[in-house]
Amino acid sequence: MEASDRVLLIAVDDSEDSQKAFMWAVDNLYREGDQIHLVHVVPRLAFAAQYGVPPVDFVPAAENSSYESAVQRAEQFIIDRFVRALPVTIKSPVVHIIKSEVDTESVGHVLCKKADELDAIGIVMASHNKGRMAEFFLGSVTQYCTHHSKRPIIIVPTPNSSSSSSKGGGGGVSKGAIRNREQQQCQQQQQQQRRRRSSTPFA
Amino acid sequence: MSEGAANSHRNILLTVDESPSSDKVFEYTVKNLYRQGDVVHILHVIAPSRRLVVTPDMGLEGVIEDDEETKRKVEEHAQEFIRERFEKRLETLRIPYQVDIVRGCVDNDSIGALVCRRAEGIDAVAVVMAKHSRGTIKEFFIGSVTNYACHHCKQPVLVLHCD
Repeated sequence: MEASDRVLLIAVDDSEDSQKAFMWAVDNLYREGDQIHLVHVVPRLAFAAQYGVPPVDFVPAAENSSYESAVQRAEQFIIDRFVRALPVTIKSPVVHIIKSEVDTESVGHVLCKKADELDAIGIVMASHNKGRMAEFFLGSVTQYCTHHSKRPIIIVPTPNSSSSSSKGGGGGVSKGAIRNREQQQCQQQQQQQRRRRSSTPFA
Repeated sequence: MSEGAANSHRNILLTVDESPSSDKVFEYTVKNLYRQGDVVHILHVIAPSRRLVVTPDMGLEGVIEDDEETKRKVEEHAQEFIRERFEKRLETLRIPYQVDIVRGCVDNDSIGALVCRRAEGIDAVAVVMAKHSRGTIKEFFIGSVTNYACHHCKQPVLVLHCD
């Protein structure tokens, strides 16, 4: 088999969901010879969140040290969560830590631009950045990329935390009772569906 | 990662319609996602009828049911285009596949739910879909289906942009 020369771009942050997206790409998308690029965008508001100051415009000089520490933190979690988890057979990923000038939404813009620059076959990302409590349907970065990217986006879902709603609308990684309940709901929905549908239902 | 992934093949779910974007969905899957032994599942949803009643804000209010003859013709037409555009290629490439043609319901969301359930049912490694930036009446169903799937699907969704 010919070695491929594709570029896989994986958007990463310091979360388990992001790690899940990464592992999905490694397990399911990666082919021998692919070059993996990990991209982490540090939004300017991160500085504000870290240091407890209101997110107003900073004097640029004051930001330097906080930016440096944000980059160092990013390097550390990227090594811990991603580079270490990579099988040895896969060549080292290229890591990009990019500072974004404005707020969260342009993280998506930076990702899309980077994907174009690298001619990636797609951008892999978790569905949520801040978790389902903060962003209900879809994380803002993922939302942006889904609408604006010219390249394929692969959205790896974030499983629900333990605080799932009674409708069971959640990402089932859980086993046992919760899965059974969801299956029952699925079956009920399917039965309703079949009554309305005229075509042969699939098995 | 998932139990049983080591020994069995993967299932890839593709949602297709008659637009050219489905060719892109197909080609991308075969070129970039497919691995030897994977099974490709083609899912096509037929509009509930050819005559739709829409509200002023382009919401779907209802359908005027087609007669049986028309329904049959629509289904045959669907089978035909799927055969022409996808099945032949799959056979040439010797890719195992399965085709599901489902008559959609009035409610957009339940088509999305249908896709998500199917994905879960086959434990799809990914659901490959196209997103159009401009919705037209013809693509009325599929556009918002992609949206729904991105929000709700428990399996990874791969969105291709086609204009």
